[in-house]
Amino acid sequence: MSDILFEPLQAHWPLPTENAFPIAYRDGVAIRREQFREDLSQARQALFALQQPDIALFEADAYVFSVWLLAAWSLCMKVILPGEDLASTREYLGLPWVGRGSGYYGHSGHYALRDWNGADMANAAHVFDGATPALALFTSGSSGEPCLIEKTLTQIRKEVDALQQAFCDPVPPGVRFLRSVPHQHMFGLSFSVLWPLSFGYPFVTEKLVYPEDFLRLPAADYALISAPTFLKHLAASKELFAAPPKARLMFAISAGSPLPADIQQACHDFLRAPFYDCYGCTETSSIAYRQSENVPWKLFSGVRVSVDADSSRLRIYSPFLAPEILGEGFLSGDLAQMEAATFKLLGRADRMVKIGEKRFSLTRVEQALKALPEVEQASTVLLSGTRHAIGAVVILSSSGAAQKEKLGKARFDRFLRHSLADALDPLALPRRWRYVNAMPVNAMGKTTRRDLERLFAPQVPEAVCQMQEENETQGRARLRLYLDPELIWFEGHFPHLPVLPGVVQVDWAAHFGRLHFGFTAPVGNVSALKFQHLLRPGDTPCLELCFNKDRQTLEFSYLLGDAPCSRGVLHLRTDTGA
Amino acid sequence: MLELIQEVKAFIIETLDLEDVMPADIDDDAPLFGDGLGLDSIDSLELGVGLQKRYGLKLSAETEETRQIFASVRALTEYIVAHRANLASGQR
Repeated sequence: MSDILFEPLQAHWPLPTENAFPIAYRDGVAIRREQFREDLSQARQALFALQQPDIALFEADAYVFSVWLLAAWSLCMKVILPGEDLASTREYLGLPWVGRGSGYYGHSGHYALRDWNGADMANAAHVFDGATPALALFTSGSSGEPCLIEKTLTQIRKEVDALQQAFCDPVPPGVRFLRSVPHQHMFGLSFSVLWPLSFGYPFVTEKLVYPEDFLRLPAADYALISAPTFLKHLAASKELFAAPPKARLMFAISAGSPLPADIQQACHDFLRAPFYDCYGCTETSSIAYRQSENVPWKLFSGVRVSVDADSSRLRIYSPFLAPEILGEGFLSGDLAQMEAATFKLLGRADRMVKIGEKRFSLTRVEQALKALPEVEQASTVLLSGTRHAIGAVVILSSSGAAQKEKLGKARFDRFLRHSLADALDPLALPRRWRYVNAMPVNAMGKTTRRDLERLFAPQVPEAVCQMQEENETQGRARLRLYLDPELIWFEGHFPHLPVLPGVVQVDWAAHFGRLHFGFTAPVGNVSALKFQHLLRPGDTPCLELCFNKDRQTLEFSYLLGDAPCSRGVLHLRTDTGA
Repeated sequence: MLELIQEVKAFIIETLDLEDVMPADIDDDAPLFGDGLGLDSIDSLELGVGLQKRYGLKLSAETEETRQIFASVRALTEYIVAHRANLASGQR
């Protein structure tokens, strides 16, 4: 990059000069370096016209993003990268919003600079001081408030150099960098954009969202910057596709949460490339990596760690830290113990949770809930199941209780989610809700995690629909159920001989009838009830349903093998005033 | 079409394990993401993978087309119908 415009930036951020490879690929089409230079110059003019020292940048296309980023840096502008495109974030920052936002899940905004249309520019003579913060990213603090972490160009550059040093062996020239993680966060930014940009590797502008996106890539050598959620689906997609991918994976790097050994192994078996797991956080950047859960972490060049004697938390010393804490190091929120010259992680020390590789503070979710007029008191808990999700236990205010009465539970749940949408990232919105009159407390008067979790014990069994058919007069369905011993109905019924209560069997019949035949009327009465055989924890009965549309009746029967367990007929209420 | 809408709603509820939600609670024309049902990015991934398995749909990343398909249950159902019609005519 010999353009005189970029000399100020060049001093701190050397870009490769001559390179036969394109800067990026969009939809398989190369974007040349000449184009990049032209776009940079246009973007500089547009940014210069803003006459602002700081901008907020949110742009999904990695190429457009990097044009804005380098243009801003070349003008000594500090770039703030919001992690989410929320109305409240825009308001909080109050900065010119550059880029096209998230579009998909977010809000359309005001005063957004979306394109670089050439603007008049006087002679901008700035010189970037490498020690002044050039970048700021959000993290969620343990107090519940997200805080901004600032980085100087020197810090970031050292990290990118360390990446090249650690991984340069597996990186052949011309390898295309792919990502399934957002570049609005530190990991995605440094690994999937700044690293390739600084060392002349092309990057793919689109983020991978589905495993199919990977399988559709044109034949070439790739490096994948990813996270466990995506890799899990990628590994599982092996069976889904007859033809192997054309893309040749050279290596993949995962971060965000620990990469489980089975996913790592499955990915390796599928794509025959090393899958590295990386550890770090916004404050420290990535500090260590390993090729398997079973081997110790390897520290990046220049990084040292210790375990704080008082708190048992990991303390990190690294050249990528902010200058003011270089000496004392950064005390992370992770518990750890030293093992040989490296460390072993023992879990989080505070109330941060991870969902889809993003960190959220349960404290902040509770604060947002309590700020709603419908909510009196709220506690939250991270629930695992088919996916991690936040469960909220809420005591409603009188207006909230009235509203819930009016809307019904499902719509009221959704109403609360919408009310929180401006304050929280979509992934941090509680997915499961329990309304109580008092918080569960133990003998010491404390609400424990276990007590909260218990409120979310499954109430409906897992079901696999084996057959469903429907015509004008009737619908039929056959479901295979799994009676999880954790189901709330087995508790105390009876203490030494848990059996599924008959009334629950009737309720489930109505539940699955509504799910599969879409009726909404409540059950008026039940006839021809017969209980012949007990249903026990762990059983896998069949539930057969027959819905008569004219008579508005639902016949049900539970079977274990060929043996009937129970049956009956539900009569729906036909008076619509209900 | 009406029955398929019903089936797609049950499919969404089962795939995403939406608690306490019944097909009748989902409006045919309300958006699946953002306002409306309020699904998130993990849901979009799970739903995309589920649609591939169940209906053979291949969705691409955050394209305009995917956005339109996820615009509502009706839009998604219409897409499934069109996809089936395509397959049928392709086999002839």
